Amino acid sequence: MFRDLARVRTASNQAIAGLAEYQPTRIAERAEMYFARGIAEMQLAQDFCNGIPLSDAAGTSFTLGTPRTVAEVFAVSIASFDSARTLVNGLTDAASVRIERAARIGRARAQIGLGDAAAAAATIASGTPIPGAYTYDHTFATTSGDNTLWAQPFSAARYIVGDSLEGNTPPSYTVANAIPFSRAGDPRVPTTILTTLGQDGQTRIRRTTLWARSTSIPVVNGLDAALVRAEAQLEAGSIAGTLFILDSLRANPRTQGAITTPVMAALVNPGSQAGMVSLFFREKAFWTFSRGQRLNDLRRMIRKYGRTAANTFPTGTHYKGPAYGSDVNLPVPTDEENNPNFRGCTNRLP
Amino acid sequence: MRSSLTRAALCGAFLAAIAAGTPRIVAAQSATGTIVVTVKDAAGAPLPQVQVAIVNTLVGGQTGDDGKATLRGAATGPQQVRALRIGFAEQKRTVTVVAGQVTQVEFALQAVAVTLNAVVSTATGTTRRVEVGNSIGTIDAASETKLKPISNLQDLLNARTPGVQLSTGTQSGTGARVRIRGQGSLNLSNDPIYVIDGVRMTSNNGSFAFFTGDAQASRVVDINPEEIESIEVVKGPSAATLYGTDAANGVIVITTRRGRAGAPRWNVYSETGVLADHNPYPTNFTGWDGTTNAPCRLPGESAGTCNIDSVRTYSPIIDPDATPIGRGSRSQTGLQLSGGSEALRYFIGFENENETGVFKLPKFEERQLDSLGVGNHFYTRRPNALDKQSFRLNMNSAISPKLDVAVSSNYIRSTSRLSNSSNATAGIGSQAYGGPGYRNNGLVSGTNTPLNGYRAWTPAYSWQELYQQGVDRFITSLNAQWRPFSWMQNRVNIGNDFTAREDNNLRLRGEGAPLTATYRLGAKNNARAGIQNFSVDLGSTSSYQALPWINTKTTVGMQYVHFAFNTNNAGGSELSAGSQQAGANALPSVSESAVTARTLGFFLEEAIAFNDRLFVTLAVRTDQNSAFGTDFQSVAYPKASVSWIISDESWYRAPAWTDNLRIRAAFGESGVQPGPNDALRAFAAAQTNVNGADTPGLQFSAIGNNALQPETSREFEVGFELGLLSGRYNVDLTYYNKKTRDALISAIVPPSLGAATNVQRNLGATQNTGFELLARGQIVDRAWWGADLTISASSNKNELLDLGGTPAQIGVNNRVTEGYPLAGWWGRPITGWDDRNGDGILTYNANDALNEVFVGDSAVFLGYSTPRYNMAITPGVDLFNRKLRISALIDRRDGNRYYNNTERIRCASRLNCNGLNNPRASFEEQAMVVAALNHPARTNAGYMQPGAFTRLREISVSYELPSVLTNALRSKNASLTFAARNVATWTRYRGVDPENDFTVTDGGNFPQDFQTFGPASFFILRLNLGF
Repeated sequence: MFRDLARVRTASNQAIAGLAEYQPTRIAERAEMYFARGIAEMQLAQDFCNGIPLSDAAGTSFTLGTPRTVAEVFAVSIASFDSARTLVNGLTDAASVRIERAARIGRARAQIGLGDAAAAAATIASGTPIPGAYTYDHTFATTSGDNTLWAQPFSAARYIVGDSLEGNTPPSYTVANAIPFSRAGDPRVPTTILTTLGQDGQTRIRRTTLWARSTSIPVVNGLDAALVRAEAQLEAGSIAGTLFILDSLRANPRTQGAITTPVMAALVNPGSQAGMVSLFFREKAFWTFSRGQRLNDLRRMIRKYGRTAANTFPTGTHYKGPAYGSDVNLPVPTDEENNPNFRGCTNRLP
Repeated sequence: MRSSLTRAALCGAFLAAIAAGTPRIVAAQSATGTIVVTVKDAAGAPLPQVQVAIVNTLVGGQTGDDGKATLRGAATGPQQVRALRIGFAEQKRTVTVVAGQVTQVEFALQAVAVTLNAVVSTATGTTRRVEVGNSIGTIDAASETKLKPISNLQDLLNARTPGVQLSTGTQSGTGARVRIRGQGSLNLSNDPIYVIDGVRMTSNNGSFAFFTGDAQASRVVDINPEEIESIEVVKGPSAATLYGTDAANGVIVITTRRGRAGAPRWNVYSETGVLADHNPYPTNFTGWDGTTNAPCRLPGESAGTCNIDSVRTYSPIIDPDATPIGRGSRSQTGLQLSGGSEALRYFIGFENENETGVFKLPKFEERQLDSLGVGNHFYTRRPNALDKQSFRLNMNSAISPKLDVAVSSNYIRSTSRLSNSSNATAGIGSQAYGGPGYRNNGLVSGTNTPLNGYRAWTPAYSWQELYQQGVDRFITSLNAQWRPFSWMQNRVNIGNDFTAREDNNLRLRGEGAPLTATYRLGAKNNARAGIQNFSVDLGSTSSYQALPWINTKTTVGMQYVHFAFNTNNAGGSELSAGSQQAGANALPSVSESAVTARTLGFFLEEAIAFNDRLFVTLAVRTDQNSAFGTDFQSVAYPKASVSWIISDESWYRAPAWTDNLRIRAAFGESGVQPGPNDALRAFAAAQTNVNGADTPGLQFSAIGNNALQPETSREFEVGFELGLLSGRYNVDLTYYNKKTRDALISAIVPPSLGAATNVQRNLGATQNTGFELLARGQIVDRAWWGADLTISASSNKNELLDLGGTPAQIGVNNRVTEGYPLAGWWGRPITGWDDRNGDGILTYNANDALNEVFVGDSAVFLGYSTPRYNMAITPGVDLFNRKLRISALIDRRDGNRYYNNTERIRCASRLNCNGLNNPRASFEEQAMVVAALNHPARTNAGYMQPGAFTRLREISVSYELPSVLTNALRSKNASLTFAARNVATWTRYRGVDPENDFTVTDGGNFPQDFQTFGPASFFILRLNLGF
């Protein structure tokens, strides 16, 4: 994963340089490459430990990066998004508008990662309003490659929808702090529990129809923008404000992947800020299921909202034998130690 | 530019020197005569195949069936004629040649029990062994194939020459990893090159377009060993210099059979046999909690979250009703005809070979598919098989007294099919090794098919997928030798080895493993490849008698090799029902590739003989290769060697029980070229979808390196050969030291660069040192019985000397670190265990006071990945007037750790190993599991197990049928042989077999057992008839 995200950065840099030199009038595409780079940087900061090198292989000579903190990498991603927005600033063609909105949402999500939800909400509000149905998608076709979120779990049965109760006959292993995604019956993650076994020959399949073979995956969308605004309300301590936005999302059907969510009942006021934090992140987990945002949310619950790893991350005995470990982020791969500037994660803090 | 000028100047200077010397030589030798040589044995019978030559000249030949050879163009005056042949002591006679007349000379050669091949093939032509300063291994292929269980060329090479180490794939038709004197390159090929009848032979390993997860086909397997006369193994740079840029890993020189002058000789042979698998396969375990009626493993038992009240055990591999292993079979029939006259000799051979591997549909599946009436194809019942035909025509013609021409042509047709296994998720290995400890484990997902103890699907599902290869191969060569003068010999070798390969992968709609939701929608992929090796070798050798006691031979030559590999692949997925065509895929895909590599080399060699007992050779070769980086144009390889037959010196005093003593030393350089595209920065075409539209794109695939150079290996070797007790014993000992500089390392590219995963760089130096011993003895030599013994042994020490200032390459289980072998296993070692709570179960605890499994703080070197020490012992006994011969080959290998990756995945992922499920498992087994799964170190050190083994690799009993039977068969001679291969193995390795390796043909250097089925045992009965 780390290498693939770095590939996006390098390919983006190569494309930016190439477009600037050979097709300077293709502004929107060049902005899109800055956006892509920013997304990759943001994802690195969301998921990996402190000590992330950002290197550059786009040119004829290579630059090996030095370890950076998660916060520094978020800042780098913000700079990439800003470069995208600067290029298309003031342009009104559809492509430019599309990229501007995408970069704006990306910037806001990176600011969320830095723990500044208010600034993030201000970013969302800084341009023309972003429609709720707006989406910047990664698209698929059977001729060029299946949606991996369908291929690996649904088609190959290598992954199943998580739950707080694991095991097969009957499920008997309680996973503390886990959300019961498969048993919750939430229409945002429609899940079927089968009796047939997955590729490990041991685990009963729990599959969701959220994604189909060629369903597009949103990279950023209007839902993200709404959740940024909701978190700004949460950060400000406004339970009502947070609930208003979350209930608005529940009240309006939207297309997510291969499904369309129904109208869902309004949430029950949790009655406390701590309860609202839990409720917010639970809602966000269902809304953004399998889109790569959950790990960052868990880390932020510890960094910003005063939780601990013990009451945030899954704990207990895994139904296959060993216990859950203590990691709260992904380590930079061992292969990076072939970069003389890197000698392992600076730390494994959330 | 500069190297080209140097090369041109060198050749020009040499040619000028030749021209300057020519008039004097020609004037002295313009009148010639003819010598007719007759050679007989001690009993007076004519002796064929004797090499006869005029000493210190290029005039020579070979006796025919009548024991005669005619040497034309002999200089007048006294000339010394030499006769030599393996199994006989060399002799010399002096005759006086008169111009225009025929001179007769006779030899009566005395048999000796033990000798090595009298002549060897070198890059400059055929040379007496005693003149060569290198150790050259030789294999008498003609004899071995008749008496031993030899199925292919790999069997011929395995454990027969010190310094040559082979490990073969376990399916029929698969290739082998061949290593000569250790591993010199970390990332380039360590395979030797092959030369057949003077031309470069295609020897691609892993020669198959589709991934099967296991060892794959090899072009080496195509060659019919029955057509081979002899094999010479040129072991290192000191000998391989004149073979050029990619010969640093050694050269396998193959000479195919030739006819000899005499009446037509027919040889008919037929062989039949069975293949059986007697390997010890592991049992699957599942700890069981009867209360919850669910699996319970040791961690849960120890934590109290469940209770193991029984341990269920089962293995579908061992259960006769469920096993995918049955009896294989083998048959081989051949017909050979040879003969001719002095003017024209011929050898014609034809052979048909069939082999069916041991994989076989389990009985329960046969019943099931028979009842369903579908999905039961021939390739499903027997997924591994080989069917091959070979036709050869060799002709040697003495066009004129000065011109000999030899033509070799060989057509090979083969069809083979392989089972997906080992590392293939859809393969049989993953399913057979990965099931639980009980047979009643549910149904195949989405079907009503009981699993019968297999992991996720049963063998029929894996084997409904066909992996098939068809090969049409044509190897042709023309060798010409022209002797315009008695002192000059010019040779031309031109050859072409072309393989048309067609690979098919077919999965009919509705068949195959339920690997994904779309896998059973079918697929057909068809890949066609053309593999070509075209080579030209020109050489000119001039002999000059400077003084009566000094003779020189000067050789100048050129070699050109053009290798091309072109492939097209048409395929896709989601077949129409009933269709088998690539065009019927609903989702088509197409690919093509073309690889070309060209090498042009020039060489100059000067060989000086002092009194025909001290031989000094100096040579240099320069190469250009298309794979060199743009900043690097050519490379030059020097060579020097000396061979001294000390025992021929008048001052030599030695015990009477010693016969001859020769000491030799050699130095030389050779190289391994980079891959054809390694120097290039490259992007790979890719297809993606952007905004709902399929769009072509480019993906950064190779960083490239403009300064890429070939690896250069420099070797020094020294040794001696000693004959003892009137030729009954012979000892050949060699020490070698091979240093490789500019070693090509596939340096790991830090992932943060977002480029390719590796880049080729010239970094550092590696070293291989070792000893090679070949000792042969005729212990008993009586007319009515005899006993002989051959011991072949070698050692190898491999070390990375210098990384060139870059960091060590750090992998999960291996490292490339200065001071250690290139290919070694590394890991944090398990340093001990202590059942502190006394519950009989070892667990990891972050609290040091409670922790029960202890692991070292840092990774250490655990051992070599391949054996360092090899020994082969070949005893033989001849009984009943030497009519019955019993022999064996005992193969001992030691000095390595073998990675039991099968057990690792069984413990880590399949959760069915003993150490994870059984409270009675040894603490050692439990510690291995805890260290790999629970301990933060996540170390696989426990699975790097002792790899030493002793194997009874061959045993054969051969009986020459009495005349009463041969007469009844109307044959001149007949023999019946019973032979067996892979008979028994003794080892401390815990896995199935210490040679189980799915990586043998992928070019890697880290052999490992990974869900691989073991090697089969062969039992063969063979009848040879001569007419």
